Amino acid sequence: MELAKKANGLWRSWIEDNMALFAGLSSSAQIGFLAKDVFENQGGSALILRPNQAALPLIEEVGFTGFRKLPVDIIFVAPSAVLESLSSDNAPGKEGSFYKLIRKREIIFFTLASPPELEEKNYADFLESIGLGHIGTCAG
Amino acid sequence: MQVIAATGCGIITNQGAYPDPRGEGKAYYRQIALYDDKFIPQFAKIAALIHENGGVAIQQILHAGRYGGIDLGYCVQPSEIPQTLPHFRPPREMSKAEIRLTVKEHAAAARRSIQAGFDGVEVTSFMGYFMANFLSKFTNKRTDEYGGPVEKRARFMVEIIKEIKEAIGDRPLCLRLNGAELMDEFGGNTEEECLEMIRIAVETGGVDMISLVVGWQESRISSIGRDVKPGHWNYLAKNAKKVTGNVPIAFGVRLPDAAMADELIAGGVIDFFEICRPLLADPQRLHKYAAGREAEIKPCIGCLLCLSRLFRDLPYLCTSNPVLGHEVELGAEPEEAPLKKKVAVIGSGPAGLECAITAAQRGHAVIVLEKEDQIGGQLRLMAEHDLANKEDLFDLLRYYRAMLGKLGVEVKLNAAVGPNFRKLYPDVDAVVLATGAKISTDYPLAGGQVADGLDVLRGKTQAGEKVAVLGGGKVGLYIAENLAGKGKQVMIIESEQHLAGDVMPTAKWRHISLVKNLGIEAFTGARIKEICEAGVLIIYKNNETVLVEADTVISSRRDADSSLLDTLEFAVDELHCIGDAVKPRGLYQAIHEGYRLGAKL
Ligand SMILES: Cc1cc2nc3c(=O)[nH]c(=O)nc-3n(C[C@H](O)[C@H](O)[C@H](O)COP(=O)(O)O)c2cc1C
Repeated sequence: MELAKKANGLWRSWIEDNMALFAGLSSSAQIGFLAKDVFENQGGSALILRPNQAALPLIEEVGFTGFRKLPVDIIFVAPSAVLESLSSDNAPGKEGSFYKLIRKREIIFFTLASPPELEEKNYADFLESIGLGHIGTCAG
Repeated sequence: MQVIAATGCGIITNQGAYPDPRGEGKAYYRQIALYDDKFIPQFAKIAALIHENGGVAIQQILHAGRYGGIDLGYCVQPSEIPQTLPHFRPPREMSKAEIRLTVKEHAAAARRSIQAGFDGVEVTSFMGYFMANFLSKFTNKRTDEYGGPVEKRARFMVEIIKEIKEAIGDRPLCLRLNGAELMDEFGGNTEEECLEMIRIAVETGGVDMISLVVGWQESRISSIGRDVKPGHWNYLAKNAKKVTGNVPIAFGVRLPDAAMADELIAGGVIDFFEICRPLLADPQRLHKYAAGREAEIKPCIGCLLCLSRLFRDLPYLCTSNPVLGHEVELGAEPEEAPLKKKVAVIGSGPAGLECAITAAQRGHAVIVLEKEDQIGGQLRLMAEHDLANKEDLFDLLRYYRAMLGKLGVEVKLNAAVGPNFRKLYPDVDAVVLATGAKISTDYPLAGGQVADGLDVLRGKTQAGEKVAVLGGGKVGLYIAENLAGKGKQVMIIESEQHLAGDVMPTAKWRHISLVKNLGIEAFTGARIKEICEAGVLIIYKNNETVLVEADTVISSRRDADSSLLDTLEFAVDELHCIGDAVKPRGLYQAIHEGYRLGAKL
């Protein structure tokens, strides 16, 4: 529980520092951020980022009981240790370390939306910028 | 198919067909299907072709599972595990009744294969397809008899084996199974668990061959890409051999080297050498080996243009082999020229070399004129600076050298031509301009200088310690990566929003990763205002003017080098222009254009 709280705090500060990354997403885009143990145990709390919905809170902490019930398009999952390394990296373009951690699968990405939904919500550029614009290792 | 049937392979496994009428198993546009008897006559033609050429014909069944349902809004899986790549469809968990139906559909597809005249059947879990989804603890979280520990996750496979065997009797059944999933980060099977699955398949009985494969689409690395050294996965075959008993192993993952495969067979590690892309690159490969003409084998460079097109709803092509998929209109081999000509190819990059060889094969007398002291053009430069596996590209260059020699193509080095061309070569009937690209250094200068990026790669120009590379396409990336690799501080300035715009999809991530890993700073969406003494002034984000400090500014922007078009217009009967000299692009376009022109000169 404590670990998850810490992870949520780390996620929150990383999100706040990197809001520019999400600027191009459509107003209905919603992204989930989770601690790895919360994801694995299917219990605890998650953060939902609604980067461009003025009427709703920017970052909301919600209970997590499985990804099916999380009203988001995509999810990022990472253990606290990885999030610590992410937030301690203050090099220019922190996006670079995010990218690296995703490539190394230390931050895990899941999509709950279908490809047309992702397209409709303008995810293409965002996904490309974090190294997830590809189809698969054999197809590029 | 005629070409593939005639490759000389002992066993030919026809590409995977999906077995269900709903299309849940369909992996890509135009994938063949076997869910109905109406397809049998077409499969019969393929089986007959393979038999006519003396091969054993195996039909593969490919249900793509997690990567399937491409015409549907969903894919099916043992459990509802969301996708980790945005390209694929949202998952639906299968009911037990649906699983049973799918097993029956596999068996019916197997029966149809035999009815069509195939000798045997293979079921694939290559790249994380359906069977792999059941076997893996990442995608199978079921709590019924199909999920849980290894034995239960293997149940679907065991049912497939039994039902297919019942449908095809004593005809051979092969299974393609993972030696490694490379899915550890997602909680996939360990290599030990993969071995367990292979052991269970063998112990079930009825499996006549195991084809060992590696990796999933979602894996961090491509098991069959250029970044993996040939032979890297051989240890998995060695491990598998320990559990397969009398059941033979077929293997060929990142194993393009027949000599290495021979060693593995001689050492009892594998029983059959499996090969796919190298045969697409050169379908005559085995015959050339047999005739001792190895040097004439056109190599597969592992670029994966083939699969990247397949998964983008396009028929597959091969960078090395321009004829693949176009055998009908182009002919499998270039035809003898009705009128023999004296052809001069100016430029010895891949477009020029391909054209020269093709024209020479047709009986033309060909001379290649190269202004540098070596052949290869940008292909050689890229090979020398490639950070994946240089030998793939050098192999292609070696092939060209061998073919020039075999066909007696005259090659003149240090042979720049200009208005004096007609005087020097008065009897030439046709000129092919394959002069490639040149770097443009045309930037607004305000006290600074811009170096030619290709000259930097050639070693003719030295870079300082703090380098700004103008352009983040493939040439700019090669330059930046190589300089950063030497410890220099490197910045890339690119006008587009993303780097690697002209890079083949399968290589994009490698370049982007290198940029991040080598600490190269990228200024994308930047407009160059001027090159000054202190570096490059750019208009960047929010219209701010930013100085990118650098002691060396290098341009990577390529323009077509077609200046000889005007010079030679009234100097020869026929004048053609191909490859980057038309518009700077890539290796595949260069080779294909070279071939197509050479085939009709
Ligand atoms: C264009 C193309 C299509 C393929 N189709 C299938 C397929 O239908 N089923 C399968 O199990 N593997 C398929 N593969 C994988 C190959 O069978 C082979 O395992 C892989 O390409 C690695 O071997 P190679 O280096 O000899 O190409 C395909 C590969 C390519 C390049």
